[in-house]
Amino acid sequence: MRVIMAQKILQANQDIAGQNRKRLSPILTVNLIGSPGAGKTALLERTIASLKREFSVGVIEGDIYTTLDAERIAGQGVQVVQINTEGACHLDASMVYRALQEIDLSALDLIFIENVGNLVCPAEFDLGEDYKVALLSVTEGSDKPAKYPLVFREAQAVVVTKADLLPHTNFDLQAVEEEIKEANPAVKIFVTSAQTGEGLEAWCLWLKDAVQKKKSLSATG
Amino acid sequence: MHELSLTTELLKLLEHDAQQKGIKRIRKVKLVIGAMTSVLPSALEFSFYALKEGPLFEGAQLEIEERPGRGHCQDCLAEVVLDNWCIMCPSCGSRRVSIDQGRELYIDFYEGE
Ligand SMILES: [Zn+2]
Repeated sequence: MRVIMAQKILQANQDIAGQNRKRLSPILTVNLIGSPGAGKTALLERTIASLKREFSVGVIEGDIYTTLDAERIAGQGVQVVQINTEGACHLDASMVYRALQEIDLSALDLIFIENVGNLVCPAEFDLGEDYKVALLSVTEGSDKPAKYPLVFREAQAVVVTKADLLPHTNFDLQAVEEEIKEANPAVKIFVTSAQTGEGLEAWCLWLKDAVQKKKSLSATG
Repeated sequence: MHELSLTTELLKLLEHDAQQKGIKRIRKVKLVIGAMTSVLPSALEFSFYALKEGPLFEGAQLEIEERPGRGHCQDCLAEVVLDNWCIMCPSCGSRRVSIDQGRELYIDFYEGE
């Protein structure tokens, strides 16, 4: 007997992502995707430091190796939940669903999900986020967008990190920006350094704007 | 290696469906994997045979149809064949190419009794 299924393998993930999206409805949710060492935690620290006076921020940490990142972020005095991915190379929607049960959502304006250090797999898994943000450090080399374009096509923003190191690398910033924009014309690109603070203001302004938009959207809708 | 978790998901879906339909043994599973997913068919195949267990999957064979990538250029409307992520229109050089086919990742059918 042949059973026609025509069933998406990731349908279950999709369904749970939908539930997450409902629960998160007034809270802006940002999924940070980048290679190991791209500077996700450093960017988060700086971002939270500048946003926490104005907004109540939560963080879901998906580091597979240690709780160090979570400890660094908790030092900022925000709600942090660490997800143990049990070796998986990406977060999936059910992990986020469980994490959300440990967070007091009532007071939050903004949640960051720090995905597992990986540019490839996380792009396939919807978590229920509003925005995917791809991180690319200038020390990784300019060929990343061509090699891992799904995340760069789907991201609403790309944050280039460690820009203070530009003079010491052969990273071709202009070529990378052009390449990303060609594949994804609507994407915002922020060139930042957690060391010098360069570009962080524009990035935080973009986030603030997005938080307000999400709020007014869920108030009217 | 998200192929492992995809395979776990795949086996769960099959088990659930077979149980509902009273199917005791699955002989064959046919998947469609698009060229523009970040899923490696060979890795998925490897995990399928490594992870399947129990009488339901005994002797089960996996068939994978790799669906090629196709799109069209948003600027000159040319049809574009996509076989990797370096997406560019061969007629006009534009990068603004939609992906119309190749993002598929689904169970087409399974056979059993
Ligand atoms: Zn063209």
